[in-house]
Amino acid sequence: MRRLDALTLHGSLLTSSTVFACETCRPAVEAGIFNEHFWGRLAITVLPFAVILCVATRLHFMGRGEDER
Amino acid sequence: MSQMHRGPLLCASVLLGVGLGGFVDGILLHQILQWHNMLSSHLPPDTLVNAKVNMFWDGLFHAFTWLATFSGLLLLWRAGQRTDVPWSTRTFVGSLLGGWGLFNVVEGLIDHQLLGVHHVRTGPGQLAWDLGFLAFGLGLLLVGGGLVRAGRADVTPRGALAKRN
Repeated sequence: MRRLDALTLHGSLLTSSTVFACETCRPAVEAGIFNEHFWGRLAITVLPFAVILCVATRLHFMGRGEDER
Repeated sequence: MSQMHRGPLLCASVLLGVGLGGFVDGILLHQILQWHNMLSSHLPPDTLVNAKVNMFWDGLFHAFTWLATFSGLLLLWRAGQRTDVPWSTRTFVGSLLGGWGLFNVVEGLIDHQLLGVHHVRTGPGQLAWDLGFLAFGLGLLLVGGGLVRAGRADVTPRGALAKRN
């Protein structure tokens, strides 16, 4: 019974609106993220990793001839 | 005569180095020192909303960094199972350092110099900080490259090491 009470308490706390940080500014934050700049900013964030992925892929297949023994 | 391929170990370790180097940037410079955020030059984190928008893009940056680390781990596991991949500590450590250096150079050139979305430490001496970040990356690439070159002499695969012990 005590376990059930604890579960109910935790469940109600987790589903309450107080767990969402900065409830009042959330619409403004979402608007700041998902605006006309979103895809450009995503491309900027991905670009270094895409370049690195190209280098890593090349490294994976490179050296076959060089390392053949 | 068997053919040995260092490529899989190089690729795995470079990706691990990129991931770990990215986490140094994200954890140390973004979060602990709070010198910059992903978009802090375009969107200065001077209000709670701007700081939270930057936090979102920092989170995506960390997600890609995590993916690089995880991919490196998977590739390292696979490389360790192959009998044609020499299990070399020098190659591994050199590629880890090289991966970190590669991250600094690529990220520094694209984000700091080319696009200017953020700088290492915004302020009067920001160019010096950016160049220092690049120089540190180049230094890591040089040291890592030296170790990788020295690792060419290592030709024993992981399975053979286990048998020898």
